[in-house]
Amino acid sequence: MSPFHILKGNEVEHLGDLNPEKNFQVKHLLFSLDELEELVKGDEILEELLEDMLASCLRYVQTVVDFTYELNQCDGASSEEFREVSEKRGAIHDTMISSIRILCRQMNKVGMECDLSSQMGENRSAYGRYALMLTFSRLEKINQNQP
Amino acid sequence: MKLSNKRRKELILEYFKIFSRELEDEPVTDSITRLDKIKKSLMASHDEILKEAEKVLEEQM
Repeated sequence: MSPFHILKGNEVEHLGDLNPEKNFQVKHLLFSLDELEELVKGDEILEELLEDMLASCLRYVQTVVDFTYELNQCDGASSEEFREVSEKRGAIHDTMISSIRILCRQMNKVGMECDLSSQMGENRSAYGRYALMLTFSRLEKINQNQP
Repeated sequence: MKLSNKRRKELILEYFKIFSRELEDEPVTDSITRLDKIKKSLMASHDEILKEAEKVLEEQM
């Protein structure tokens, strides 16, 4: 287990199906927002990559909102709007996954152990849930910082 | 009057959409009134709405 996992890792039980091949019984620990921010602090490239990644996560979650909204409106997947949102969602999902992998690769390059990519593998919904978790953490922070 | 599930979901999503713009470079400044109106319609607090939004979105992942 990497030293980063020993930090106050954010336990995400519902991501337990990240690697179905290995059928993990243990709970997975993924980097929380605070941990990511702490790890990249002081490294300009990593800070920028994290910023890009969080922006991608936000964009993705907003697309899921549009998708869910359309689904809620038409009670099915037949409308033109739904098809458009659905296609857009796929492309933004790919970008979000790439942004996580890029950050992870760079972290490994500078000697930080990051196995987010290997933990989530090809599981697109796991990436989606991770994006959701990070985005909501950011929203909670705004709330905490408000007077 | 009790909101239908459909309408409730719609308002939750709208609330999230408006609030999440705070994370963008140019947050919307005149959104507070709308957020307050939604809170009243849903009869829920900010935290409760966000939790519900998270649950709704998680189902779509």
